Amino acid sequence: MVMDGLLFTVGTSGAVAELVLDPQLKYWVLLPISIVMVLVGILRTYIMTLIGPKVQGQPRVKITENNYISKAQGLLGNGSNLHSESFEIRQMYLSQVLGEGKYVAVSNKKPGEVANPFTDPNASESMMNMAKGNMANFIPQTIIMWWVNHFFAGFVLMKLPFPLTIRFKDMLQAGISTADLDVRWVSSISWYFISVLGLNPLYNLILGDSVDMSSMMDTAAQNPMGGMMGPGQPQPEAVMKGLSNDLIMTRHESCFEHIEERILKKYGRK
Amino acid sequence: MSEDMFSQVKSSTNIQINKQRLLYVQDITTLLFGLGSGILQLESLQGFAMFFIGFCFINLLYIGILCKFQPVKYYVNPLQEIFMDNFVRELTGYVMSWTFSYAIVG
Amino acid sequence: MSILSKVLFGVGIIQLLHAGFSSYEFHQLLKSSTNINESSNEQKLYQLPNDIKLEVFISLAILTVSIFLSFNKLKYYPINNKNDEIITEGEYLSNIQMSKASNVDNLVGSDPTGYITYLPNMVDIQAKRKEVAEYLKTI
Repeated sequence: MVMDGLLFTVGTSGAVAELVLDPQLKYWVLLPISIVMVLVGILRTYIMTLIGPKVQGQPRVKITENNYISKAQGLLGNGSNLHSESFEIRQMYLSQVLGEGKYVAVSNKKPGEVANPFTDPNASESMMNMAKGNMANFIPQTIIMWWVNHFFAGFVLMKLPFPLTIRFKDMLQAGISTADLDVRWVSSISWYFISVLGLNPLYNLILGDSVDMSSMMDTAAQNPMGGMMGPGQPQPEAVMKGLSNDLIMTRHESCFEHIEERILKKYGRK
Repeated sequence: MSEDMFSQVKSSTNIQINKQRLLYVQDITTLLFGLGSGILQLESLQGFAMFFIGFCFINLLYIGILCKFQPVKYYVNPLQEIFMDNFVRELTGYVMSWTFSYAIVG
Repeated sequence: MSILSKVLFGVGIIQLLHAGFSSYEFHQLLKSSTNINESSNEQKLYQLPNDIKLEVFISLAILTVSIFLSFNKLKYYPINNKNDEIITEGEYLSNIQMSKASNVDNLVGSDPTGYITYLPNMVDIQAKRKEVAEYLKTI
């Protein structure tokens, strides 16, 4: 058993006590934990891709409403690519339509009533997606942590190459009841923490540039919220009114103004 | 204002592609340097010094060879994107591989 | 280029592993030869031999070179390619200026906004139909 292999003597003087660790610890604790963490990370990536958010069905009125909002936003953002005439036509039309609230989706429920997210199939589906994303993140972490804590507890695994303050002692030397041991001698759970923090570059190399872990987690966190108009978000009518006001106030600035000067400056002979 | 705005339009796809390439170079070199410093059994300050020197050296090489000394052409904000954005990520990766090889070798 | 970089990468990795093994053997020897009860200061006297240090640094240098060699100049293969030519601008990274980026797109013949501009709403369908009809007549 690995735990019996630990024999140590405390140095007579000096702050750092030299321990001699059984080399079998490396092969039966350090390597398995590392391999399992890398493999679980890869597996998690593929599972996340498989259960990723799917295209959701929405009632047509709702889509029209969203499309008009994004149309106005698009005009505000990219209007400079239009001629001033066409910009003005769109500006007038959209500000009028949005101000009237012509394309606001009419729902059957009463104004003060908040939809129950569990009865609405779309909302519950998006919540399922969110829950699945979270589960794919947290369940492997919890399982590995439990595994490490349960099977590899109670002995010193390795020596860290850098000193730490005494405050880390409780966390990194959990299960070792030696009050005076230097914090640099740590148990297996601290190798777990270091790997959790440092594995991102390795995942990037193994999985290639197709999947980036951090960006994937971002999308997993954001996307399911996209189709859902929760009670906390502003109502579409208010958004439309605001956009209509913005549109009225915008001054058009065409990218074609002074284009000759800019082209000459950029491509002309110096 | 308008002149600058319209003559400085950036291509977001290319920004993303360049960042990916930089990230690849930084990731693989920091992991290898971590392994190397663990094999050398560097401790505390020496190890971190190795990281700083290696990281800066790699970034300068990157600017010199792949950017041909013109990082402005490929990065919106070269100093920040090359030296600072990935710093914490690379530092933790370095510490991981350093600790790993330090424990295996030592 | 790419084969050279792969060979160098292999050599560098093997050298790094070899240095790691040498260092491992050295430290095992150190532990077994020095008395455990002596203070740790004595162990510090024995440093890693210089040739192992050198080996590590050289292998890191080789690996760095191989990583930088693994980047080829960007090449583009145009869609309408009559002469089987490959376009290159002699750069390793993509230029972020939109004017330069769209330059490459024009040379290659790709349309990054094609998913919008070829929507049925954007295409003059009658003209396209006429074109197809005339094409069918010629067959």
